[in-house]
Amino acid sequence: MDVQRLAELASLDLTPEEVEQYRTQLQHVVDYMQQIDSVDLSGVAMMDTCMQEGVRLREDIPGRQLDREDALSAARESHRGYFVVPRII
Amino acid sequence: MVIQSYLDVSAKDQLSGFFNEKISGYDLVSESLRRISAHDMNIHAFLHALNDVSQMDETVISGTQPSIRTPLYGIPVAVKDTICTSDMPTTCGSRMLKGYQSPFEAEVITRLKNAGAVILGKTNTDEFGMGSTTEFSYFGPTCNPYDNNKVAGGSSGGSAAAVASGMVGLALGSDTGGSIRQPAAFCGIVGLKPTYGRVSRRGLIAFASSLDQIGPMARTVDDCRILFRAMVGYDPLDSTSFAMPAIHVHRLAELTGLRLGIVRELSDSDMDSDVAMIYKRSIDHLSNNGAQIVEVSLPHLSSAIAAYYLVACAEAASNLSRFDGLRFGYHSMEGSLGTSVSTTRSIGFGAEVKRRIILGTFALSEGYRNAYYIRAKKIQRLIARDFAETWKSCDMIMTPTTPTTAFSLGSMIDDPLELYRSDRFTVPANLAGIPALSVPGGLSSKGMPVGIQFMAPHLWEELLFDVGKIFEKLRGPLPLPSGFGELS
Repeated sequence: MDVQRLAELASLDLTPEEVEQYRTQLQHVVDYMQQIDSVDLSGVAMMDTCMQEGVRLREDIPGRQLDREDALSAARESHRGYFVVPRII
Repeated sequence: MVIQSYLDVSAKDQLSGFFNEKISGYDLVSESLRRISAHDMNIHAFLHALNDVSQMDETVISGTQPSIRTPLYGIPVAVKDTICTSDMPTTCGSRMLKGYQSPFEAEVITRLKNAGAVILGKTNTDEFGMGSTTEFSYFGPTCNPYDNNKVAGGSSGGSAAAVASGMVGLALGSDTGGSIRQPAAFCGIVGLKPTYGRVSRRGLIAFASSLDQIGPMARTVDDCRILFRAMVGYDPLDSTSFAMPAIHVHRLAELTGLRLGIVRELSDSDMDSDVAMIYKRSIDHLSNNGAQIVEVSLPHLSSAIAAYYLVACAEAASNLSRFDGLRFGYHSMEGSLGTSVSTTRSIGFGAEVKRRIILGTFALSEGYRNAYYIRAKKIQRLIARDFAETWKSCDMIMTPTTPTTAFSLGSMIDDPLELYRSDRFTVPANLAGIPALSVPGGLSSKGMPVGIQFMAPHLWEELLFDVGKIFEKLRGPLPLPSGFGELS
């Protein structure tokens, strides 16, 4: 298991100690999970939902909205209704 | 009048007290806050509580009479800190959300307030609901009221301990793989994981969206039922919310005719001897009083843990990608956007959350998705089919809730696989979406609670409550933890 690569995919910046610790722990977990290889899955579809009636959609009519000020209220920094983030380019 | 005793009676009797003007919401909440102040330094159930009674809703302070529309009038309820409240912080037990104030409250909170409840405080949880001990909370663990050297269970350990120790009578938890039922079992209280979709998830900070459910926790089955009925129902703003009406069975007063399924694949070697003894005694209680015991098979039970953790961690990896420090939460904004986000997430998340994100990313990654995530989703369908097959020959299934009693603090924290495997009796119900109730079965030889789990077909919560209530009566009184309800 390439923990370093997986961490990069997940935007996690791990220390070398964490990489080593998680590799050992998670390899143990993945080894346990190999048992799913022996289950006969011929003709079995993936489970789509636990809901008996399936997902129910509503009409595309705008209703209650989150106020913009509320949406910005926990931001580190905002400017004229926008979130301010570090430079991208 | 002894105020203290009214916090310790059932919610049903508390409501009766209100109607007869023997107590007020002010009395109950004052008593709860006094106990939290005196007791919680030893238990650490709460992360945040009302400062004082003046923060209660005016209508309850003023003593407005309860009505049939307010079935929780004046009753204090504790809320797991993964559920958003707009007047108290919501931290998910994480540094990432330390001090976070949600701009809106969860739908269940609105429903409880409309029912007259007083939201007393927010309870401790494993970080983002990921864990089975509440030791993974950034703010420190919660102790078991029966033995302070043992865990309260998780991830709803704070809610379980708050109820078990008498600080509050009702609490909300959330259950993705057992996070209501397992701490309920460890702490000797009742906890329900509802049918997936029965309770709105709007405002529950997501761990695994296809598995999460908010549910009630209380000292008795009756109280659990009162809380459940106040929170259940369709929410048009939750697309996974159930629109079908509930099934209200004819109230079951006795067990004659009930077919109780015992799982063939479960053996004594799957659980410790105390749990096995109480489980067998519980089966005898029910069969000696009219229940018909039927052997049923769940042939894919042994694959449930693997399937659950692959599905849940894959969804968690996706859900937790929103925590980047840019719009809310902890942030470490130095350098470029990419560096800032990675640093924020590395510092903001604890070890167990990072492990699960990596495991979930692995399960979904190129070259591994077919072998892990897709196979897990197919096994999930087989497990759901297994349950559907059992309902042809039984009305409900009974198992222990957990294979052991509560662990010692620190004993499992470095062994993720063993901790994951300890969820093996609870995760099948989440994978199938069916309701499951944990009721205390008794105390072990070392005085620790053992939980008994009842599982039923989709929407049959009322049957679970009916059978659970009969079981409680047959079991007899459960010894309370020492110091229960005392002020100091």
